[in-house]
Amino acid sequence: MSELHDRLSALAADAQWPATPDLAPRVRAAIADGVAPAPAKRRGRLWAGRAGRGRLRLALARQPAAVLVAALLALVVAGLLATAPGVRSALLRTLGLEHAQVTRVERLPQTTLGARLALGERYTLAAARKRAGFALRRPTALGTPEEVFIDRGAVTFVYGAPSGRLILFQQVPGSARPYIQKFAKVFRRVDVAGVPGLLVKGQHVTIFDQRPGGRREERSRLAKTTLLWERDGLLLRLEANLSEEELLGIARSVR
Amino acid sequence: MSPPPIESDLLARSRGGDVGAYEQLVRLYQQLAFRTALVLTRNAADAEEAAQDAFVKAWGALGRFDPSRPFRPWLLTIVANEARNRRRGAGRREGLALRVVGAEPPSSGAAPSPELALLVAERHAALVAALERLDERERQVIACRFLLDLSEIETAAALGCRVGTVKSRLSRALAQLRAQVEPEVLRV
Repeated sequence: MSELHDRLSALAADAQWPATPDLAPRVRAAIADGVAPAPAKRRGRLWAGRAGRGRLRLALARQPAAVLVAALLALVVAGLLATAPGVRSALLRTLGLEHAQVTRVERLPQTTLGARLALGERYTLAAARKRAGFALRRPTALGTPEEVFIDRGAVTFVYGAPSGRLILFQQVPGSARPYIQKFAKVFRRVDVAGVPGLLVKGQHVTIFDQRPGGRREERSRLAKTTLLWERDGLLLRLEANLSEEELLGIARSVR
Repeated sequence: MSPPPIESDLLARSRGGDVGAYEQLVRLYQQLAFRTALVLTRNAADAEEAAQDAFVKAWGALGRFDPSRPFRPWLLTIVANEARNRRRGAGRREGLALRVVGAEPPSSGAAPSPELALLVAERHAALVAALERLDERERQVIACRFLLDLSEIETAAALGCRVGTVKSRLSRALAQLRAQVEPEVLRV
């Protein structure tokens, strides 16, 4: 072996690599969540291939009915949730969402977002990165999104599972003092990696000021559970039919 | 060459849908996957993401894995694909993405003399600088073969080329490296 080989071997022996992250729990969580199917022979492509996208389209097509039913349920329940302003202020302080405002109302407002998953125009991830105008965050626990949409600056990643379950991760830049109005059956404060977050269950509408763009509304698409938090000037929403622990696990993986 | 018994067993169970076995398999190879992705992306965050996504995708593709063939090159192909996808879309890159121990005492044994430690550190620094001056493909083949200790087949899988290409590229890289570092490193 030449002297150069010896030097390279010595260099390798003395190299200090960055610590290897423990990927096993995250990989297991992704598998358990159905992000990847179980090993099967004669699968034409990797799980994110055409078959997966077909399932995703099918799942998207199934959503409108579910959203409509949930919206009707929410109208019934929302009537029980009126809260006095003083209580609301205290609630805001308790929630700890610095730029957020939570309001309970008697009925859901009319919104332009109806019974369909109107997520905007579809882009590739690379194109979305250029189009977004801000550094996109990604929940690394979910891997690469299957579909990416942009609607007036709000970027939504769609993750589909063979089971038909969907996970939506949305991010949108907020203004200096954005406010959020949530109309929901249940909400409570949670901790998202040291940042205060809000867990909302059921159909709800988020109203907020976006910069640029001003006031806009976002209706939950899946009528499941939504985790809402703020980070680095972005309003982040994670929506899925998952447990609180699973949602928080995904949220903590956002990079 | 047949895989070690533990790998073979874990592979068989994973192919049967045993997530626990696959989790052990991930732990067995996560360092290899992460470091390979790091060599290709030169960014720790991208490397972590690439390695994780690769393991998730590999799980879904295990049914198509031929158990008579070695697992590492197959996995490294997936890791490399994920790493290259991220490399294309990102701009920020780090240096060689690793630090080199030079003046630090070894973990076991007596501390080297200050003179020897300094000499080792200088040699390493010169070698790393020479590596950085290489063409990217040549730097990668050196990193795969020497820093990651990959076989030629594994290096070919990681770099997405044929074994013959690995050999020729490595030969060219070593020649360039030798020409660069000999005056300052090898003549001591």
